[in-house]
Amino acid sequence: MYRLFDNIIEKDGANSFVLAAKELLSRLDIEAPVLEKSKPDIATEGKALNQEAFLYNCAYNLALAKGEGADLICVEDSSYTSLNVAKIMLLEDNNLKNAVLQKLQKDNLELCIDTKVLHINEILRDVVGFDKLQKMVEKPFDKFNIAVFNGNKTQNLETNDSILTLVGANIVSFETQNDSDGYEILSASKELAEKLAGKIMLDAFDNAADFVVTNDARSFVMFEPRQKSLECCVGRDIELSVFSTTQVVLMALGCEDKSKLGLDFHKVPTTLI
Amino acid sequence: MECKLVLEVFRFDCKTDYLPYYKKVVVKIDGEKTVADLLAVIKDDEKLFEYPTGENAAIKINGKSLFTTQKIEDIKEFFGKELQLDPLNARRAQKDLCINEDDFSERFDVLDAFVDASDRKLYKSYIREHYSSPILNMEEDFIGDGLLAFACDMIQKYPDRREKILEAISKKESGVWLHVNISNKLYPQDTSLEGKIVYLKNEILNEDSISDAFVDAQRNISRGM
Repeated sequence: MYRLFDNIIEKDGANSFVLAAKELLSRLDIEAPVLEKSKPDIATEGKALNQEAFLYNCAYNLALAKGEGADLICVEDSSYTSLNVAKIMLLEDNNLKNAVLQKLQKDNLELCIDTKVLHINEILRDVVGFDKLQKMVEKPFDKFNIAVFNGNKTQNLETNDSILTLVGANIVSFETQNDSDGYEILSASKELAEKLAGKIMLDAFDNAADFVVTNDARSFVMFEPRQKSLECCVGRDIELSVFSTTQVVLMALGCEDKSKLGLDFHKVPTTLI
Repeated sequence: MECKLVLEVFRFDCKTDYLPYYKKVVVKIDGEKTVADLLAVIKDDEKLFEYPTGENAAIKINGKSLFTTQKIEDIKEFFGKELQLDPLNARRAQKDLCINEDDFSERFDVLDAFVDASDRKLYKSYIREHYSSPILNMEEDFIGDGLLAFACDMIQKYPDRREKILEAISKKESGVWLHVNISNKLYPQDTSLEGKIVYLKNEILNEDSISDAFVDAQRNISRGM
């Protein structure tokens, strides 16, 4: 049994992650209702400001899912990282564990570090299977060059690349694919943050990318809704669409409904062909 | 075991060159040797070639900052046999892989009054962190990730100087708030700095004597979480 975690960071700006994941899971006949009454993911940026709140929110969500006997599906990287980092921190530090335990008891919840946290890419790999997924592809991306932005992430990169490759895409390499997207300094310096993000988008553009893929809600809100601002910052037009892997897979499976793809929430116009 | 490496070596002389260029070099070297040994082999053929030496000698290989004490066989396993050798910061290149490190040395002054002169040795070991941050080339007032890592160490060493050290690194325009994750820019990948940054930010927010508009705003966000 699964529950979908939809209380992602930058929920308003990155709502397309949730919408596309819901549609994809539905098409794959995987039942994953939303985890109701969850606490928001405050991400590593929130952890730096209030570690206790970060751990409590994560532990709360893990406990809620366990209470429903479900594994948690994360639709993007930040929530996946937060929940897994919190599990490790709670395992390794008894003081933190006890503090969180006490707070959860007030909510009538039990601390559950063993709740399974899955990335939607892992669902595609392990539950659906790459062979089945490939057979379902109706509109391959074999004429497209994709720039995959990974930032500082080192986990699950191969799975993501495999999914994009099996839908026919050509993944282009670009120098800044592991750079900071600037999100972490946005509150301190919008200008520097947008310079960092703008440089990455220009690099993707200059390496002949047709669009950019990121699976992190924070990177998405830097690259997509802010793109006009990034263009002003770097002094050049960018005009590159930004999608999640889930959206790319959905399109490859033949979905053309922009609202189901979450494209209604995008600022850069996308023409489906 | 001997291995063959195909190198693109950054060459530049600030006294004579307008732009840097890369020289292709093919070398055979024992995998047990270090990057410093590899650089010495290059110099055998290119007498004018210069590279950093000494305790904290570091360069960039394929975009990642590393100390030249790293073993060749580890480098080859991680990066492959085609390697691009660059200085830690190309903008500060003086001669080939040697750079002007004055900015790194000067940043020590920010904490000089709160630490002992002997602590400078530890500070110098954070040269990779200092030059790995992209912010350094964008904001000249940024105190640098090397100093932030050092500040965390000094708070542990001198708990009674904690408040002063925190205050010195808490400025919105130049301090810890401009740090971006550089763990992927270091070889071997190192996430310890990120832990230190989280610690420093938490400590600043918990230190009520540090008060400016930005820190207060962060404090309010933190309390609302």
